[in-house]
Order: sequence, then C-alpha cells, then structure tokens
Amino acid sequence: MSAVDLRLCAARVKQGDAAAFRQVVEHTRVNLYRLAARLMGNVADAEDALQDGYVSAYRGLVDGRYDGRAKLETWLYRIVANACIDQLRKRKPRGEESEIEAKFDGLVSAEARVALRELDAMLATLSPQDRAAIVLVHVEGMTVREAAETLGTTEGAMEQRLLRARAALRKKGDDQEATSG
Amino acid sequence: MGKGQEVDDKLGAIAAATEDLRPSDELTRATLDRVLAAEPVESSLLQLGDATRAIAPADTFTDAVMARILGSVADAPVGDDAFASIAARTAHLRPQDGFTDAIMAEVAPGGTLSDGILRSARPSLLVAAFAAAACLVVSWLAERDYAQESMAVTAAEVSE
Repeated sequence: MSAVDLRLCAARVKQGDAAAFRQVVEHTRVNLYRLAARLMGNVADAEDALQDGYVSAYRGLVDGRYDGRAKLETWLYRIVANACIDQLRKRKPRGEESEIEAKFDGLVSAEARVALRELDAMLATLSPQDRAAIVLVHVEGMTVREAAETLGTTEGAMEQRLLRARAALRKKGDDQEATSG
Repeated sequence: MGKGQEVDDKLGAIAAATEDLRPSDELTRATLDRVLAAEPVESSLLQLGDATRAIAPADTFTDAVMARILGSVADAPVGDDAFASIAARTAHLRPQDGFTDAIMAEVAPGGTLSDGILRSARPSLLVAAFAAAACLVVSWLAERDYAQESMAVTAAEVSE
C-alpha cells in the first residue's frame, strides 16, 4: 500500500470511519512492532507500548492532529517511540529472569528474544531518550536527521544525545571489562 | 598525436580494464570486521539489530488493537458527538394531544370547542377556590363551637 493510500485511510478515520484504521495498523504493524521491541527490550512491554501508541494515533487522527505534512509512517513512528519512552520512564526495575509473557507473540525467534534481552541489558543505564536515540540510529539504521524528526528534536541535539549515550555505553563496557578482567 | 592525448587514451584504457573490478565478499566481511572491531559498541548494536530484524507481530495483534480502539470510541469523552447522541435519543419526543389546542387557544381568536373549555376554565377555578375557602371557614367555626361547648360541660361537671 502506498503512502497516498495511507493518507486516504487517515482521512477516512478523521471522518469517523474507525474501521479504516485497521488498514493503517495492518500496513505499519510489522515495522512498528520491531521498533517497539527494540526500544523496550522485550516483546511483552513492546506490545503494551505499541497498543498505547496506536490508540493515541487513532485519537490523534480523529482530533485532526495529523496535518499530512509528514508521511503517516513517520508520524506513527514518532507516536510509538514516544509511547515507548513513556513506558520506559514508568518502568520499574526487575530481575533478568522475570520477563513478562507476551500476549500476541508472533514471529519472534529464540535468537531474537536473546538479542532483545542483550540489548535491554546493554542500554539499561541510559535515559529513555538516549536509549531511543541509540536504537533509532544504531539498531533501526535511521539517519541522525530521521531520528531527530522521529523524536521531535533538532539534528544538533540528536548528535549531542548520541555522543553522550555512546560515551556512556563505552564507559560501561570498559567498567565491565575491568571488573571481569 | 600530442602527449596529452596519449595520456588520456592510456587512462581511458585503464578505466575500461578496471571497470569490472569488484571486491570479494571475503574482503567486505574483513573490512566490516575491522571497522566494527574499532567500534565495539556500534558493532554490538548492529549485531543485535540483525538478530531482531525478523521480529513480527502475531496476526491477532491487529484485532486486539482494533478492539481497544473501538472500545475507546465507546468510552470517548463527551464532545460534539454528544449532541448527535442527544438528538437521536430525543428524536421520538412528541407533544401531548392537547398541546396544539392550547397553543391555538393563545394565538387564534376564533373559538373552537377546546378553546371554549380553556376560556371557561378560569371562572371555574375561581369558584372552586372560593368554595374551598368557605369550607375552611365553616370547619374552623365548627371546631371553635365544639371547643366552647366542651369547656362549658367540664365547668358544669366540676360545679356539680
């Protein structure tokens, strides 16, 4: 489905056709699911955040908060990233083995599950915003500009955030090496 | 042929001869390994990105999202739609049969049967009110007489 079609779906949702939102979800869910999983570090939290994000996006469409200037996908990326950041802020620390079971567990291989856990552990000390910056640029493969647009900030601020986050990750790696060695 | 032309021809030949040069996959891998080894954090992140690339939601996920959205539509705070809802719920309201006659009695000078009833209602109400007041007065007088008689009887008994 092209971006134009998605905009049409968005327009239909705005006019009160809630069912048209299904097409938006169907078309965007795979990328957004992966994004949420990488940001949250596990599938269960990702599902919650993604659902919150979609509900928020639906209300945004109905209320006319999507102005059509950006691609709908970009707008959704921003909403879902923010939903994840909100959830990360509220997240309470939990043990490594206490991962909550996912409700709609789809195509998530054992390897991917392990990778998510590693990613979560690696980024655990970062602030939610720094974590999101790292994931968008270094895991999702976005440019700094795209990541800045997604998180609603400037490229300069994003560069600063990335520098700080990378420095923190390197220091953490060095500390771990020193402890183990 | 000048010297310059000779150089150009030679360079052109070299360009043509080397046009199909491609790095081997091994070289690409080795280069990437070297680059990534220099940046261990980025390397780890890239590997984790690769390992999570195939993640996809279950088919039931969309249904769950839609259920939440449709639920949120039902629970949505009252807004402009509230007026439509009120309009729908009040669409069947009808005035009582006498309403039109009462309105016509106010606006139409001509007399209809109900108009006449309405006009005669006012004096009827006055008569009824007067009668009720009269009943109250009679009742009060009777009570007063009864009380006086009771006192007289009691005084006679005491004197006896």
